[in-house]
Amino acid sequence: MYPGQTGTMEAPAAESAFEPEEANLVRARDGDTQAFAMLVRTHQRSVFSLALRLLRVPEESQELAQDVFLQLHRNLGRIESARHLHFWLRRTVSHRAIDRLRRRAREPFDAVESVPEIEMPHVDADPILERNLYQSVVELPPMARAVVLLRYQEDLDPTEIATMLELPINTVKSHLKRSLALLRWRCRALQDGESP
Amino acid sequence: MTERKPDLEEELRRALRPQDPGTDFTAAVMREVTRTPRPPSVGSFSAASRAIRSPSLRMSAALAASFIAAVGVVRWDRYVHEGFEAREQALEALRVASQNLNVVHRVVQESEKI
Repeated sequence: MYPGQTGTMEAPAAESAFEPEEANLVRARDGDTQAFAMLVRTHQRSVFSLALRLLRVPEESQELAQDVFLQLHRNLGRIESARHLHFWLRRTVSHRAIDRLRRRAREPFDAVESVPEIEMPHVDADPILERNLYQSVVELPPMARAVVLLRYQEDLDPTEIATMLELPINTVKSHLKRSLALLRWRCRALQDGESP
Repeated sequence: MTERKPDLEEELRRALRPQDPGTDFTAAVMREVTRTPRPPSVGSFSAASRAIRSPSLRMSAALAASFIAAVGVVRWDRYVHEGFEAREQALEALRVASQNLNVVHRVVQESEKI
């Protein structure tokens, strides 16, 4: 079950956003590798970024993201629609990254320098604030981090996140509330610390 | 002068915009994909199960099932009806045979009296 499977949760405008992808999905299911490559290109940024921000190791994140796409290729026949594909990729990469984190005996605490740098193309943005926020997000506990990433990177609503991570909706809301409070506090502390 | 307070959620969206995995990513995935082709059975089985879930196909299947059921009822009715007719004919044949036997029996009895 994924949000919108019954056609009751999505607005028509949101559904039309998936339309261009439907054709590629149908062709990829029929064995068209070019169409599959288009699907990879469409979703690689999201899948890789989720893996990177959860695992915090670029090489491992690349490998996991590639493996998720290979898993998709093997299971293309089970993907019902572009919306399902969108949901399936994000759920699969989140679950697999969280599983890897659980398998690690103790997640190593990365120093600021070892966390991958982020692109800063926005002119209006405050680069210091962005870097502080990014740093604070990737240091959140794994499940809270996954919730925050799905909310603010992928723009999913709490109901969709709850379905994707198989968590009660109140747990998702609680993770978001606590994480935002913590991020606000950390950013304020970091900014205060940096001011002369 | 008041300083504009940044909206944390907007700043988060900006800080967490997706990053590109690099130019070689798609090519690396496609190399692996061509090395390990997808098993056809999974696709065909799933295509069948997907087709079954299709509303238009379900409607067609329901109509076909209704038609088959209707034909079945008509045929059964005809079969039962034909059964009744056959039974009636058999009874009629028995009645005729019985009458003939009575006639023969009577003739035999009368000839014995003589």
